[in-house]
Amino acid sequence: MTTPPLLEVQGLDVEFTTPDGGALHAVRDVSFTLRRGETLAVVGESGSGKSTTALALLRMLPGTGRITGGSVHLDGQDLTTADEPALRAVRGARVGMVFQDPMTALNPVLTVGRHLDEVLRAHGGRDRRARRARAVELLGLVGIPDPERRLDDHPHQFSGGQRQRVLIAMALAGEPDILLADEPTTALDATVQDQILTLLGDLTRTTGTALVLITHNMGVVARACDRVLVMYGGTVVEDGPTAEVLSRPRHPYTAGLLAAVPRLSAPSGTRLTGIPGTPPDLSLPLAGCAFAARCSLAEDRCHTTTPPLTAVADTGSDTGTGGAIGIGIGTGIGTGTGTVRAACLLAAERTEPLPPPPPPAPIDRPAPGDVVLSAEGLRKTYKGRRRRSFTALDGVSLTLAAGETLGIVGESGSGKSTLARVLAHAHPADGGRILLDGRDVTRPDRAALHSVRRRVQMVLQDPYASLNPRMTVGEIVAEPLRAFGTVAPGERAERVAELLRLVGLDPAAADRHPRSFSGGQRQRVGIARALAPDPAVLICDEPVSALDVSVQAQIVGLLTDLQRDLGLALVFIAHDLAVVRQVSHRIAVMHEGRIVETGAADELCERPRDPYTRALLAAAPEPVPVRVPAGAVSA
Amino acid sequence: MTTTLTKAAQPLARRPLHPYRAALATARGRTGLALVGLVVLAGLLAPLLSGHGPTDQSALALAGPGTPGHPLGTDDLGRDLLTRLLYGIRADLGIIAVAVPLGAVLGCLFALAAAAHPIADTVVQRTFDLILAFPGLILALAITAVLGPGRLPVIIVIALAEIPVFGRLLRTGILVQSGREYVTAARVGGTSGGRILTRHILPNAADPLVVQFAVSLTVAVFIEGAMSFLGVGVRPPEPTLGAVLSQSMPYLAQAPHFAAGPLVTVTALVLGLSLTAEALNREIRR
Repeated sequence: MTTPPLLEVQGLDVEFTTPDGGALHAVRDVSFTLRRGETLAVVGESGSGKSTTALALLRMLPGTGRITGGSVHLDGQDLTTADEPALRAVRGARVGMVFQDPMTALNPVLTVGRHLDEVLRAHGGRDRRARRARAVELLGLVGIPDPERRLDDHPHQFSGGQRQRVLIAMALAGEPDILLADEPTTALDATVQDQILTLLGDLTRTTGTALVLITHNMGVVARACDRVLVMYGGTVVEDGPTAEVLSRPRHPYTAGLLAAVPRLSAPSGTRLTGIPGTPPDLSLPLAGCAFAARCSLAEDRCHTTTPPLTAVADTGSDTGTGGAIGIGIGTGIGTGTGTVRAACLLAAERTEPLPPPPPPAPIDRPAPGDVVLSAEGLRKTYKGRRRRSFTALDGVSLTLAAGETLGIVGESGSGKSTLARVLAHAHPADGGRILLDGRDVTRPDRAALHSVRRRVQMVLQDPYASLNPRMTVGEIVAEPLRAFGTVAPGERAERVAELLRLVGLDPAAADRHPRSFSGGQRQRVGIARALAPDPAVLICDEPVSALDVSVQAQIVGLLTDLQRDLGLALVFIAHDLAVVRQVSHRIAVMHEGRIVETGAADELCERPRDPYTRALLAAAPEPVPVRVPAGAVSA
Repeated sequence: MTTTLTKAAQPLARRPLHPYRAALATARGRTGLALVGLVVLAGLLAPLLSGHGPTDQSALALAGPGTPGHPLGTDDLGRDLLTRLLYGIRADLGIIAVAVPLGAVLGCLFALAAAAHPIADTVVQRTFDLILAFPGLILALAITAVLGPGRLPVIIVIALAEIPVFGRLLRTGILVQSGREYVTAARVGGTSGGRILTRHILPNAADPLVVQFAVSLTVAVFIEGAMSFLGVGVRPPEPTLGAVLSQSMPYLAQAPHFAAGPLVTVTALVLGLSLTAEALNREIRR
């Protein structure tokens, strides 16, 4: 605690100018410190300001972003006032960055060796041979096998995980003191994510590089970092040792976020816990706690007084740093890694930690009925350019009963989205049969297709891309009504209002455009549209993967309720096994276009038979510790 | 810092303007519109603003600006320059106002045809290549050689030059939009192909076309000017901006005011259109 911190951020404020001239306060009064060799996770949902904070450290804010207050000291040098040459000397050499998407971060026409060579040259490597030797060394360090030979390969010859390794090697080339990783595993599959996190952990241990890991995933935090900084609405709400924060969250938001993360251990047919409400509008001035509007414990003063980040009274943990209330308000000086600080008026006064979330409550759901949709030996191949064709579906068979949820899990490229589109008749199948209510509808004629589409509807993944930005919500929801002619034109508005109410939106939303809604609300619109023609089958292609974890629970809950009330058959596609287990009756695991294992949800998760299923289960990161009260597991 | 910000009476999310209107309300957009408006108005009101006919000759040749009755002076044949300028604008606008929309509409129709079927797409694409293979002025000369100089060849040349531009732009837009998720959603939702095109794809592909339209107007001013300047445009003695400029060339040393009128007008028109296009483009790209 005597060594001065490597990085010290104090009262950092970042603003963006919106197109209509207003100010968007993306980061408000953020303070933290980082020591040499320390691993710090910055966790938060979209719009929490975590990425903006990271970019602001190196003054790399995009567009209209600017630092409006505070300071960033790196080894005593203030980066907020440093000039451009000084910043360039810091970027790469002292602070290395790893970005989210390894697929686009490498130039496809340059070899990996050239990529590394350029970075090394920028950091003063004169000798070509020495640079090459160092590049080989770096590739070896990040675990690329046979680095000597791979140096001359192009990015497309590497897998996504390997590309992320190459990017990490590039970030390490300048031997930085700090590695800044912005969602480094978000674009990767769970099994690859696991490997990358292990690599990052090993690297920080062996090279002594400090790591700032920005993520929205609590599992990643638990897996990779010593300390965690929880952000919400541009402010830091909690800060402390990972194990302490995750096991005894002091701030209601941290607690809510942890409770909202689906646990693999939660049995099928239980309800996910969410946080009600939507994230704050950053363009409005903040009075009081950013989380107050969604907090169940909020009192009147929470809405008016901004809570300082205060060390909370130690509640009998082993790290005895003498948590005097009031240590360094808004500053990080002198705060040991053992202290938990929370920006909550109530937490500062409370002595006992927040109560644990209620155990997962089973939902009463009716038993599935007759089979409505079945597929036999579905095949779909895409013709590639020049190269061989790609088989997306290879003999897929499944059945789906009324009122049943069939979960489909798989990593990217496993064919699950293709399956959804083939079942919904968005793409034709190349082989096999699709039976709807016992009738063969694989290749329907025009009239039959129309009636099939009335019965089988689809909810798409991206709530931002799946709604036409030019149409009002009312027009979007009325579109299928018009297409199928189920409702007389005069009664459409009424039906639209009814549908919007059904998905938990205000019918007044009909007059507004999708852009004025949040991701979760947009996904509700998407669901309302899918429900418009009264379908029997709803195919949900990753309906929650673009949503924040606190909102995810709301949407999953809505789908479950709709299933119970309308007797829908659901196909629920996701890459997150934990969510799938909770919502599904049965699960099918897809791998390389085939269903490798299928079975009852709990059975499959607890006693997986296929080695791939086992690997998938093992790779799913769990936010520690798992709290499943005995007796809750019975469904 | 933020603590001091109490509930400021912020204007509660006033209904945002349509992006085009917002674009034209910016300083850039306003200046552009004002310049274009000024020139267009001058052209439209030509008969009211000048007391002479565009081809009326007087005894005064090459009179300087400020001559009584001839505020901008006269040309080498004693015709009133202001009148010729105003009627020149009128002729130019008449050509551009027909040619550019014609090119745009034809280009878009080709793009729609291309979207219908892969074979049609290939045919249309190669046709565009063919048109683009000819440099603009060669095309102009070739067409004039066949049709003879006049208004029609100018219109045809401008329209031909614009067809591939609009065609390619819309085709790209359609391809991009038809890959979007909301189009898949509409298809699964049972919406018919025609309605998907008119309701979902075209409105979202239209933005670049609007910008391109303003850019194309600028290009058309140039093409018309160049053709008249080279003497393959509108037949003299009818004035156009390019023709007046061409006519002034021999006298550039003794009577610079002769060339000034059309130069300033073309500059104002092109600047105005460019500013408008840029304003629209910036707003749309946001």
